[in-house]
Amino acid sequence: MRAVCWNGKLDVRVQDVPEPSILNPTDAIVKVSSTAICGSDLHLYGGFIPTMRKGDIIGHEFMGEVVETGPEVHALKRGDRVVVPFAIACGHCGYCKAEQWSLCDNSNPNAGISELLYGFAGSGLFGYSHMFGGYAGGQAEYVRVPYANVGPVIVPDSLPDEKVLFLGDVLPTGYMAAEYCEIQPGQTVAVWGCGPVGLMAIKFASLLGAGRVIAIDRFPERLELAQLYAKATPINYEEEKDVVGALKDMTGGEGPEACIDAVGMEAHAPGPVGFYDTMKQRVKLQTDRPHAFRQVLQACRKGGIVSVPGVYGGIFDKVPMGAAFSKGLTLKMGQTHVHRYMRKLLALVEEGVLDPTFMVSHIMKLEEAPEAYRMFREKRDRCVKIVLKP
Amino acid sequence: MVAAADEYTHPESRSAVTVYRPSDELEKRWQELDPLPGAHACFEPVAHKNATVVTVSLAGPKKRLVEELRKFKQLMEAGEIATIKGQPSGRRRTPVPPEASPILPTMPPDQITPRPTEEHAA
Repeated sequence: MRAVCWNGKLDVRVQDVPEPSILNPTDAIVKVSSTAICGSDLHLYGGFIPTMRKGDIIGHEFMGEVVETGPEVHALKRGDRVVVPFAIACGHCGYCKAEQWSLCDNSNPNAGISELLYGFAGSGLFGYSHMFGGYAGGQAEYVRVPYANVGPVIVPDSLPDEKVLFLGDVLPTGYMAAEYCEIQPGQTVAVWGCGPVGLMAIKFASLLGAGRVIAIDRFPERLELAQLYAKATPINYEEEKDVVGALKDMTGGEGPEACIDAVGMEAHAPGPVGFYDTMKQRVKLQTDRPHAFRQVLQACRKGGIVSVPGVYGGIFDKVPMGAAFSKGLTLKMGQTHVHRYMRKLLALVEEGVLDPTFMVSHIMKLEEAPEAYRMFREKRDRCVKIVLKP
Repeated sequence: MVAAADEYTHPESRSAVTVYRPSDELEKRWQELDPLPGAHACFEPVAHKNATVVTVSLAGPKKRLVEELRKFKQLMEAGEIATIKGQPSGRRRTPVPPEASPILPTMPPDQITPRPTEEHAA
């Protein structure tokens, strides 16, 4: 079969690889109908996530048809059309029972690697490095789905792929980011980053009762989407140099009640701060560029909530922890507990309350993945979200 | 009686894990599977979690102890041991067969719902 393989920094290739097979009793094999490139895939593409190996099949947003099942699979049958959550969860450990699916204790075959780096291991993830399990990803014609009784959600044929594909990542990630903010009616929420996760966080912040949502980015087309589809107030940080000051002014001097960092480890920053972060990252004195996180901590109202759906991988520098402490901020973050939200969000899509297709800027063939990755990284051609078709 | 080499070269290692299954079930399965011959295992129920803390000590490297205990937990809670052995990648042309597990038998092919042919799938 054909699959998108990581071969090093800025080097993905579509290669011939063997088809997957059932390895455990609750595995299923899914024939992929649509798969997306996530913003966090760009961290792999840029070479920022450790423990990748040349030849790894990547991709964690995908859906398709069940074509094979293991002997213990009873929740799915051949022919079912499913969306698969990016986090892999066993469904039986203490964390899964508490609906903290992305912290699953049992699904990461390489838990020892994560424990060395992080103290404890999170769940396995599709196509996202060996410290997260080394599972082959879904940017391929077929994919093996472990714990198939637990993760995949059957979706009706009446809904096109582009309406349901994002139930596996972007929709739940945006929702959890907004939910973490514990929004009270009328409050102000500021969102850094208007990529797909940021756009969804903005949308859900509004749906959960925010009086105003402020969107911060530097790409006009993304800010336009935030305005048009989520009624956000835009700040272009290349035009407004003092984002923290602007937010203060827009909120009567108090700052937003909640701030969402939907940027993560590859934040751009103008001027010397950006140069400092880039150089430190280049010489491996820090793994992440945390400029958005710094601003979030500075801008958030006293006693406010900081929600971080943006991915961070390792260590970083010059973060104003004193601001977070002295303002009594609450910090919430982590990989999304996708399973917790998929059915609830599917219902919103079915009811027509939610239509994420506005994010899709490009639909391309799987074979075009190398060009798709280049375009997405460089934000060319108003690229926001790319769906690949095997 | 001759002592195993590990007893001389490694001090006793100790590791603990919380398994969300009843202690009597775990103790019985531990004895049946004997995943770490020579190890001393202790099973302590944790009532408020409906779980059991399994503490194991053994003369030998801690890494092996931790890994075997992790597999035991996976098998007891999820019914299978997480693996990627045998999955495809762009590194090789043919898949490597799954590694035989000491406690989980390889699945007979007739238990797998077969993939349809292309004509059938269409």
